[in-house]
Amino acid sequence: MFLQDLILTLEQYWARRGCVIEQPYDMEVGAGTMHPATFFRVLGLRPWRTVYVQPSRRPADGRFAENPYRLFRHTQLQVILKPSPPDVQEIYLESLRAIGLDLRQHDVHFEEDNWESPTLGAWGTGWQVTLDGLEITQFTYFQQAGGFDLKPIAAELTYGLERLAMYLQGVSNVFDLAWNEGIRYGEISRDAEVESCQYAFRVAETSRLWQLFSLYEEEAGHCLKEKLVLPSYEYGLKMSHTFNLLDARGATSVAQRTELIARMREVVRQSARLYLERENAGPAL
Amino acid sequence: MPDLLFELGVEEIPARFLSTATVELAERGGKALEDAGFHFSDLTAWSTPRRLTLFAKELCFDESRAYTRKKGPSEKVAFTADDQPTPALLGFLRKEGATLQQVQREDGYIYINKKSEKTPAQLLAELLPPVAANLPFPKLMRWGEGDFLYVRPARWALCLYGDEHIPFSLLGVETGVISQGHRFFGGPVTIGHPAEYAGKLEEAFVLVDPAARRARLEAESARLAAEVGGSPYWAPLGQGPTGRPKVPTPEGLVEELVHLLEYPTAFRGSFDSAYLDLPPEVLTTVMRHHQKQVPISDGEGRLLPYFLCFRDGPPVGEGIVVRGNEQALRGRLEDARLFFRLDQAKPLADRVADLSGIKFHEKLGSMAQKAKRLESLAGRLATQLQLPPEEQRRAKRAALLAKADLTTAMVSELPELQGIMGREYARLAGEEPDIVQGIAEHYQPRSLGEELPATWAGTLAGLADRLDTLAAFFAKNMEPSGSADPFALRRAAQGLLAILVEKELPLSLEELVTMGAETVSKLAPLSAEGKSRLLSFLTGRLRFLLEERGASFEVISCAIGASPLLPAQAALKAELVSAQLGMTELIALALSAKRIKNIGKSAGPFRRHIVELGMEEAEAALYSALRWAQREDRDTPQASLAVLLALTPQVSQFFDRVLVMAEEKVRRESRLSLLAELGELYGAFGDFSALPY
Repeated sequence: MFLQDLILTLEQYWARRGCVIEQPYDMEVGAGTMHPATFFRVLGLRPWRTVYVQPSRRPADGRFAENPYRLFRHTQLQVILKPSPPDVQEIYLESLRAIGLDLRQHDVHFEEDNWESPTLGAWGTGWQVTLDGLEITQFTYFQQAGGFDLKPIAAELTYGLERLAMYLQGVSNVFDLAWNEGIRYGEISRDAEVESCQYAFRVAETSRLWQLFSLYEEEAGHCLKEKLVLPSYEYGLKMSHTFNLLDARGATSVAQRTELIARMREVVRQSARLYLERENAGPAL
Repeated sequence: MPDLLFELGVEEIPARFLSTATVELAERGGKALEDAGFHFSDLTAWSTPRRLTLFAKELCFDESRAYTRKKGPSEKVAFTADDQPTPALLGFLRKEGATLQQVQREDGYIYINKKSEKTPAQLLAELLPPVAANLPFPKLMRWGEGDFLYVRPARWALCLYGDEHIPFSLLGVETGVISQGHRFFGGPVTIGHPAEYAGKLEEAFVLVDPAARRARLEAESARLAAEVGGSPYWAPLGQGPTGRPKVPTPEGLVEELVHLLEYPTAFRGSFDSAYLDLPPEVLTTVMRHHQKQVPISDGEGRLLPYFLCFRDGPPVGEGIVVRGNEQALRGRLEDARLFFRLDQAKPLADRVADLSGIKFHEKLGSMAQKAKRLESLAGRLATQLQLPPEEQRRAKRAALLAKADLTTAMVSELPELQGIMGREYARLAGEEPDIVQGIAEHYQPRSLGEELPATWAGTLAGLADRLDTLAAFFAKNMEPSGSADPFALRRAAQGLLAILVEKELPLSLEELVTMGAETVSKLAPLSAEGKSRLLSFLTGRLRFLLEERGASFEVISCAIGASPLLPAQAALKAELVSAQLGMTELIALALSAKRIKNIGKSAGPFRRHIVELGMEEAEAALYSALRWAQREDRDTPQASLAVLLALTPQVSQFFDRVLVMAEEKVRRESRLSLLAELGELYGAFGDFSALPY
């Protein structure tokens, strides 16, 4: 199955189960969870179902396109089901059948894996789903976001698209993945991988990144004063990506990391608080 | 008599919780049934990742327990003089819904025996939900509308008493008579009768009894490994069981697999033997910890290029499952090989400086600073132990390098390999063999019963590491409290003491605390009060250690009673005293120690002055025996105890025949002084007054 068919099949599968097909967020994020379609929509009482692809940047994981498994920017397919339905595991497993897996021939099981993001003030319980010994999905019942307890609870399913596609195609190097019948993954992303790594590991001017981090924080604070939910959150995302770049450069000590994470969390928490205030003031469900 | 079956279906429960949960389910279930008046011939709890099951064999309800006795007003209040019921009695009967015929009179009061209106089925429906819902899981969650809190979402429930369905609801699900078989090979399974439960589920590819899954898993693994001339390599390398009681054999992975799979089936995969060039611990860690695969080793403990992987369900899809597992393993090993090559670009010794980027703790500086402290502390310990200069040099080097592997890519990726990678990279950098081995060993023992370091280098680096950690955290008042021990200080103390005791090192806790305090003085000064807290913490852990070795509370109190306190000697003393328990001489010794202590307390201050002139016979005999004892060789605990036991006839005679508190002041003070010296002689060994006589 080509990578793009995998995406189409999964999006279609989830769309038929009531998920809105959102578009990838147009900013640098480290994971699909940071997309407002997840982070804000899991807060509050309103039901919500969505599916979207989210290219996710993890500078520290970049390997100059030399490692067959590791990427500066990988691709997640994210599903949110709020509230989580009683048959959520079965629906998820059905999605694996939809991409052509015979679950009696393969081995699929659920191993405990609890997720947390200190930056987002978020955590959840759940599993990593393994397919023949390979982790293919992070399955999480969101318990908290922005430091707020959640009720109802959303299920978050995050498919690692490259891994899954590599397995389905029997390919041992991510850059050899067939995107469609004519184009390979490497042709699309190799140059970007190499350049991004050059920037993140060698070129990035750390003193300027430190300045940017503080500037973004100030601008986020400015937005918060004006009670702007999304703009303040977006500056929080910019802080997060800047932090990740600093981290990849080895420019942060353990103590600094803790402090920087606390500063980001504060912005995100305030955005979440504003969102909830607005949501509570809105029309009744 | 009918059996009881209760099953709660749950989405995959974390494997690490299931053992405890199963035991608790049996205990709490049994107690709840008995408390409600049920009897059973046998009670079992089973579990799989997707269910918790309680099975009570031949459950019956004790009819006599169906009555509850209610005490009413006194006879005087209840009846008028001519034995007519008063309004008070009638009110009581109305409240309890009883009639006058049910009234019994006893001891001046009236009672009624009330039959419970609840049927056994109703009682079961009341008692079972809290048993399952309140099991102690360490981490809970909500789901769906968020109304319930449990380890994972509850999905179905089943309850049968004989062939009667017991209806009730818990955690958002209603009980029925339908269980669920294997996710992909089973489907719904209707249970008509409790006794057919395990069999019907086995047909649906679920082994409800963990012991049955374990047997299947181990037998299959052994068979597949034997086919390639090896055996499953379950235990972690270098951490064999030591045969000490109370120490579980390291079998975490079998246990985990048993609780991860409802119907375990083993397959064998292989990998390129070129990966065998990696350190074996890298391979075994990747397989066991990250892939839940089991290495296969030959008779000599060498790894073979094969592994066992496991699927849930019957043995189908072997080729597919094995290929996937091989690919996943290859990916990780390829990564490991890359790290191994990259890490060697920088010799281990050059990495010590890089440790400045890693914090020991937020408030306690960097690991680079710690490495320097360990180097000097290991040197001091070697001097204190009067080791040859060569050993001192090796100990300092091992201590300096002990943490350097934390900066390597391999350890960042596989933290379980700390120490092991230090050893490998030190070897490749051409360090001396003892230093190489010492780096890996300095983490030992990680747990009670693990082997101790074999080299001096590892022993001293390990002692220095633990002592530095303890002193530093105590200096910042970050010590364990209650069950909270976030920096694993109890484990650090345990390791420190195990080394001192097992290796019989002549170091006292007092001098160790002083050395530790001096080591961290620039970083975090340890106050006099902090030192005494650390000393009493270590003493408490020593008590625990001696208890694990089988000594009683009183014997331990005796053995740790001397100051300065040498753990190695205390352990030996505890053994010696334990061996003498119940012997006449030891009893006499303990009794005299108590008397000396009491007399000392009640006598008040007096002048220490022994006057030989005018001594009574028994007094003179004790005096000369004491002088003999003081001259005797008491360098070892054995010799010391032998001397003290030899004194007991004179001591007993003295107490029998001599009045200590003589009227004449000089005589009295002389006798008190004699006993004080005797008490000091006792105290140099320990506190005999703590013994239970």
